[in-house]
Amino acid sequence: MRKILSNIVALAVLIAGILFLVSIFTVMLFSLAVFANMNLWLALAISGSIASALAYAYGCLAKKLGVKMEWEKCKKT
Amino acid sequence: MQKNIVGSILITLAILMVLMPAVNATVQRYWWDNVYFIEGRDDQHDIKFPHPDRDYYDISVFSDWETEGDYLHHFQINQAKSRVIKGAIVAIGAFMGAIVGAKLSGTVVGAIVGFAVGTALGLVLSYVADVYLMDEADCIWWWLSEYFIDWVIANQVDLFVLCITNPTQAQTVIMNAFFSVGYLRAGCVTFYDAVGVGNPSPRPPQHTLSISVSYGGTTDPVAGTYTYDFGEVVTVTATADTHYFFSYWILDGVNCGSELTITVTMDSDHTLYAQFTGGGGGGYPYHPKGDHPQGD
Repeated sequence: MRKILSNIVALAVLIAGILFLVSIFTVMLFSLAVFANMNLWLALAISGSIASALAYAYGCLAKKLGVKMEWEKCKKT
Repeated sequence: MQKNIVGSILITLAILMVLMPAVNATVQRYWWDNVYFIEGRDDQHDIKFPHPDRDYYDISVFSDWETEGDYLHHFQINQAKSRVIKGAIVAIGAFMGAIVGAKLSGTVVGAIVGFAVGTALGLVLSYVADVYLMDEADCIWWWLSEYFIDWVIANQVDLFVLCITNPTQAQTVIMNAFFSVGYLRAGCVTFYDAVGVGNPSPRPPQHTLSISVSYGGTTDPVAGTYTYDFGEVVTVTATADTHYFFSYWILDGVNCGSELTITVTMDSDHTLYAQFTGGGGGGYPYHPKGDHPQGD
């Protein structure tokens, strides 16, 4: 039961993180491509890189705070 | 466990889909911020939200385009760029989902789950972007306050220095300026309106047609002042009295010929004068200020 709860929390964290990060990516891409009048592919590369780095940092932070997706162990129980 | 994950994803998707309001199509013409806006041209074009008319401005869906209104700057991002932005949302969602999933589980399976969840959420967000930001030709339209643009241009040097020396204060200064003179709308969403421009109104502007006649005849409609919607085409017919004949029309001070009927397109206020002449060569001369015997 604890593992199931842990997985649900992990999934919620995953969903919330993706929604937040994709929103940041979209705003960043829109701002660079439109407001800064940057080349679209360059804007994509920059905003994609920053968003990916933020996703990595977000994953590390969540793991450090104890959020864990226990896929393998859960299957065995 | 798989059922829990799949169930959670499906419930999330269902909630998001239900929360999305339907997009209302409009088929009317109107002006907004001194820019002519679109109507539904035929059954094949279901206009998702009002935007400047491609026919009127000769705008291509494949070209970036912008124009200045009275208060706002009107922009179109071309079709290709808009579609890339829409697709990138799905791609980055999948990629970030895989990264976060891998970090949380430490396994490949976790990364795959994250990829699947990220793809699903990316598709939902992409759909939202499509519904709210993209028009029927997959172009993104957006509007920004002219006052704010002018303010940024006027203060660009100071802002640049401030951004380098004190980024936090620069952010505050820019945000304060935006909140005082800013307007930002993308697609069918108005994010902020400090200018008071509002949203495009479906009510068309109206213009007046003032008709006056000389002695010796009448017009249909009779002399007077009439109000018509913008773009409406009005036909006026002249009928001479016995022993008189129709001479010519004067539209906005310009002689428009001697045809008995004249059509006037109501793209602005107009004054129309019908000159009749008697058999003895009479008739009142045209007075540009409209001081006619049977005028309004």
